[in-house]
Amino acid sequence: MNCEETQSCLLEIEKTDPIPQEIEEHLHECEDCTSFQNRWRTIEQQIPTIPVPAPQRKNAFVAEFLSQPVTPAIISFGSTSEKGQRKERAIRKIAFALAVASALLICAVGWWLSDLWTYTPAPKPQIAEKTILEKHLEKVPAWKKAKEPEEKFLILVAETKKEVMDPIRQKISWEDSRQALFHKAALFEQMVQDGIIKEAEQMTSEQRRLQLPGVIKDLEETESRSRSTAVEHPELKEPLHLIADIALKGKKRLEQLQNEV
Amino acid sequence: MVPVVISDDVNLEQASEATLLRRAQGGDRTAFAHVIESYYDRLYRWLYHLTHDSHLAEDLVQETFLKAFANLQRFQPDTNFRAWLFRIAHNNWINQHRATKRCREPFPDDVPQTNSEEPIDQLLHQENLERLAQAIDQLPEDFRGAFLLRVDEELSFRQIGQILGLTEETARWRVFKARKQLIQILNDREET
Repeated sequence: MNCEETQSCLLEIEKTDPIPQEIEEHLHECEDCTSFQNRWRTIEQQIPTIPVPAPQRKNAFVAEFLSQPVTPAIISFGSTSEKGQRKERAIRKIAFALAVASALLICAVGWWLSDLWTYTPAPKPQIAEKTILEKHLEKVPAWKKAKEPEEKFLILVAETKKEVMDPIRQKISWEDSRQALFHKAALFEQMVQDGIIKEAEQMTSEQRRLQLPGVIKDLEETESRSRSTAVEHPELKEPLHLIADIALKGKKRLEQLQNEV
Repeated sequence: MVPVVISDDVNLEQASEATLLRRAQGGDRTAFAHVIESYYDRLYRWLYHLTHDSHLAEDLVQETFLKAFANLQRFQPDTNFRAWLFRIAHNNWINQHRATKRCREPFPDDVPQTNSEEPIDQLLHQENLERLAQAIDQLPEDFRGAFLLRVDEELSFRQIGQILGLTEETARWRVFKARKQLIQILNDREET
């Protein structure tokens, strides 16, 4: 076996495969091929260590995934066999033909009936998807009665404190799983961005002057507590940093609103 | 609409992949979030090597997970989930590639810094990795995808074939050709 054949074989052999006898013998005699083998091993070991830029949106994606239901889509991955795909295509064609035929029949009957009966029922109102914040507030009796922005603001602040800020401050339930914390982060984001800030924007200058400083302080504390707890609990680092970032962003916006006063 | 089920079972942290997938198939989003966590980075890494665009790679990763979750009922529990997931990712990448005919950015000249070593060693190591990354970038896409699944993900040729829609033998051949070309590229660079 010559060097070219040996080196070609070495590229074909997997790490876990035993090296064939004849290659082994050649390697004993040939320094070039031995160094080729060593070099190749080093290269394969280095490849998994090539650094790539860190993903930036992982935590936000997980939090969003936990908070917003996804409508299931019918998507074909082509993972079924050719026979299965043909069958699926045939079923789709039949379904399409039936749908067209039904639509035509409905149109014809409708046109015929329209002469006899002109009544058309009102379309059903579409029910929008509820956010986790809306679902949460449904369980708060005071929320239903609240009408003014300030009232809503105070309820939202109280709920945010109860659900996120106090547990963070008191380090309650650190046995929480990462996912439970991610869920808290998603709720926190909606409470701050879609709740507290939105209501604060509608409040009067006087109301802002009275109400905002306390919340700004709470958000500041939540941010710093989240970051320090993340150091103590590295396994919860990502959701805690996410909570800290939300608190920081919310704090900055509320400070802007306060300065507008 | 898929109902949101927030699991109160903290043992999900220790649950096996099969358990998580079974629960996710029942609509448990928390269970699937664990699956996302464990595959996000590796899927991103593979797609980044294919696209060299971190935003696009992340878009593709997220699209992959959403499609996987929406179609989880189609996944057969006794088959390989990783191969199924990577196949969705590959299909997404192909579709995106065909749709935009986007020009792929070359691998950046300065790869992000790695861990702590002596400054000179680190520099040499960094240079090596840069050279290697650029050589991999020169491989034809078909070869690169298969090769990285083998070396980075340590998948079998059968699984690589499933992901890329190839026979096991073709997958093996592509990996072999990729290795040959990679050695050639690195040798050429050293000579110049």
